[in-house]
Amino acid sequence: MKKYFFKRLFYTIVTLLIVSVILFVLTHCTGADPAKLVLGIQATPEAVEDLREKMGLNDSLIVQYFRWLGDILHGDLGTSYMKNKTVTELLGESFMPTFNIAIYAEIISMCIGIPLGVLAAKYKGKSASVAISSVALLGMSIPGFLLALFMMMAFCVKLQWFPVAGYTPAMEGFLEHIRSMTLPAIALGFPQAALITRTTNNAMLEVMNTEYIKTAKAKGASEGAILFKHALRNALIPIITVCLQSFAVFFGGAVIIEQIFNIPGIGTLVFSSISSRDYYVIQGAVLVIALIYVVANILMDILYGIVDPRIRITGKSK
Amino acid sequence: MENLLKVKELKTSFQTLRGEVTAVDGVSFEVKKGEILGIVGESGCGKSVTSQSIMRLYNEKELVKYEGEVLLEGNNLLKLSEKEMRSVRGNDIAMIFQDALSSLNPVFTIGNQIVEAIRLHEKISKKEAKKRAVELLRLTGIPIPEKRVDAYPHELSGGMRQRAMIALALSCQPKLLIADEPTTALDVTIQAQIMDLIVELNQKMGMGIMLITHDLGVVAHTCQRVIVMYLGQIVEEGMVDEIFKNPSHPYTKGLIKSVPTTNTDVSRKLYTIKGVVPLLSEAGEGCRFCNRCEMATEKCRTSKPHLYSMKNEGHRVRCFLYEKGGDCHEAK
Repeated sequence: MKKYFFKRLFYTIVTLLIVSVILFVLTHCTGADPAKLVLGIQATPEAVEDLREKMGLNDSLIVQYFRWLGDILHGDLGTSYMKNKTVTELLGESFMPTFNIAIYAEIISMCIGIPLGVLAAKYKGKSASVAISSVALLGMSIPGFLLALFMMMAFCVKLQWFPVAGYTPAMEGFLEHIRSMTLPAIALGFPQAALITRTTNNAMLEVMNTEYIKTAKAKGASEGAILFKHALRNALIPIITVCLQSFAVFFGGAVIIEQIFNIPGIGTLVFSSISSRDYYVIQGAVLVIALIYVVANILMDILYGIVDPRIRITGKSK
Repeated sequence: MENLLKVKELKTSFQTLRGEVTAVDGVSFEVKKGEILGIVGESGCGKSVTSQSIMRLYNEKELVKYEGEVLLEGNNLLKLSEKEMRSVRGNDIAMIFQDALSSLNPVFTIGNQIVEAIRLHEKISKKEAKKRAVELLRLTGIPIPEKRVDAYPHELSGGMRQRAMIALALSCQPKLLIADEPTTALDVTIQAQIMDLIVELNQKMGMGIMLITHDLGVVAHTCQRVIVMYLGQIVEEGMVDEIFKNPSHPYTKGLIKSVPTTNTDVSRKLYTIKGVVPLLSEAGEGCRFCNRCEMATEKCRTSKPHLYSMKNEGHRVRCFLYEKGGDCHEAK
């Protein structure tokens, strides 16, 4: 277990290092000069040059990269050029809205996707199954932002059930908090629910053809027990994979949805920092998203072992 | 002896993309209490379909259609509702499958699966059921059953897994045990152990056993009576001694001749039945074996033979050679 943990930690660090290099090179390749952006178009070349020197932009890229990396190791992700705040502060403010919405979206997509996938497998070839897979196909084909706009029109403008935009923190009333997150969570969660439905359906169909399902039936187990106990438990591996991947996708996908619903989350932070070439903020935010992916992968490994004893991490001695 | 199971004119047909296929076509036989009945035949002859039809394991809503009667102590199983049938499965009739590795659920412990089987049919606590599970594992000869009860299927060896599978099948002391090729997936030495175990349990618990196999040696050692199937029909039926001494149907003769023995002359080629089993959909007008039969006549190709009774009681053969209640010695 210990060995596994260190191996995993090592891979995590390597992954993040690679991400940081790519990220650094990409942001610095965008070409715009942050010093000019900070000072505005009217700034004199001397003033710009002065600021560039101060910001360390005149050093070679390699020097800049290692300086950034060294700062990160000291817990300092840098300071925003545009907003007078450190990147850590900005990330701290915007992490919770995105995280809460991602959890909400995850709950929505799993609660829709898994039962529908099981039902579609149960009614294989029947109209119910065809209906479910058609809706799933539709769900996967509609882009989240389009769905968001339609829902906004229907539920906010016409029916006025939800606020059009904005985010209410939990501290200012839990119900309002949930209400403000509902539409963004659906917009993010629905396409993933469709994906989970299809994955669950495929995994279940495969499992339903196995011999142990026949054994379960021969024991006298009811159809419900066969589906939800014997089959679903065995179909969980691909379902876990797609669910955790979708959680990471919610972070990446937040960029667009948060813009539409005006949520002050990581997505909005990425968007605004890209438009203002706020290098440190972009890098910090994307690193956080990369970290979410890595953590999701580690969680996947742990859950695989819990669900399927055959892939339990070695070292368990009994 | 009293009949435990009586199958009358069982017909099992499947809906396939190429139309309806009748995999079991008018099969009638009985299993007596405490008897081991062997069912032999090549792959695809319908022996597994027969056994799974008895337990009604196929999807009845769209896939399969049963006709005829399956009487378990006089009660027609084909007429039962799905709910009533569930209380028969695992309780009155239990089944052992070929490959225990794929037949045991990989994500639950052996004990867990046996406990589930017991608690499906009896209202007892989990703790008591687990005690029973340990006893069942002990009964099937698994060493240190207190420990094995918490093992997952993949943690056991092939022989142990099959023993666990048998323990699972015995969990509610079924009246009839259907063993569908229980030793095919095992090493030869383990095969013998498992067969000995099945015979021992049969004597101890007095349940009827239907042993499905393609291994004639196993049949000779364990069964009292045997049914030979070919392409969904019974072609010969009788006491084991009779069938081995006096095989009458050309197919049975072929099967017995093609078993290699230690005193077979090695310079001679092993006997084989010519040709391959035709597809069910290609079965013609006449006898289903006529294309491969060395003795086939014109009559065999145009009309269907019935099961004819032979001189010895209970010996029946589906072949025109014995149409007039013939004596098998004449045919030679």
